[in-house]
Amino acid sequence: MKNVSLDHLFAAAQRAPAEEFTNIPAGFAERIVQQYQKQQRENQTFLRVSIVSIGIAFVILSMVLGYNFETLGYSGVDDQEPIIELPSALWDPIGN
Amino acid sequence: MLRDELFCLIERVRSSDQCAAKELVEHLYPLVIRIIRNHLPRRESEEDLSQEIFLRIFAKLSQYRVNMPFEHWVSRISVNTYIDHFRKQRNRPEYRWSDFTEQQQFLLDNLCQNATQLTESAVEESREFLNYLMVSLKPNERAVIRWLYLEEKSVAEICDLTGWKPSKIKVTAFRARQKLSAAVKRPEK
Repeated sequence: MKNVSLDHLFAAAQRAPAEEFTNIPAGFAERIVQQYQKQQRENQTFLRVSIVSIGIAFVILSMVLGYNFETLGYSGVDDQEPIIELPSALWDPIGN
Repeated sequence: MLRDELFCLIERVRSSDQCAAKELVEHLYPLVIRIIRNHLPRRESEEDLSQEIFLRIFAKLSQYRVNMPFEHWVSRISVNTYIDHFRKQRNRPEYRWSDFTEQQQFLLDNLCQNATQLTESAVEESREFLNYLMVSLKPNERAVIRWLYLEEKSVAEICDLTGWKPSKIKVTAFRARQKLSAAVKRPEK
């Protein structure tokens, strides 16, 4: 598809003089360097916080898993009162 | 700046030398600002964008390998940052002949009839009008149109500048041309 207007527009726009380059604004380089250093510090802090958070999460998770693992092997028989003794203890009118 | 001097400067920046970082910004500023000015639709956010580009250059400087010209590497980062920056911009207008002012319609008619004898003001107006039209394009389409038709770069040169494949450049240019053609097409009476 050949569009005459568009090609003419490109040709005319191409002939427009290029913009003159202006010098670097005062303090621009310093601002960039400061921002970059600030960004680096933030990244390092974020990394440290992330590592500490992951460590804490891992400790909590292993504690929970460890507790559950202990209860898995526990039958619960030792801790129960004998079934036969229980009614008499409940219905003893003197309370001995 | 010589190639060896530049590599020495890059090494110093990598080892957190602040003076070297400032020197690198000053060295690269003309290149970056030229890319930004050529592609910005208006003079908006020029400083914000240049800061964003420089911060990205510093952040990725450790990834730079010497087998590629440093200027090409910087222009790739600049172009990609520019495209990312304007990708979020959703309100791109879609122009038709009826949207243009009488002056703009006259300019287009005049371009067709007197293509060879254009006054300086007509040339300036053409550039402004093209900038106005290109607001309707996506940032990558805008960039490709500029390189191909205004700066007369070859597809291979654009590949070097952007890292895109030739097919992507051709398809992008075709789509952009279609959009612009639809805009400047005079409705048949």
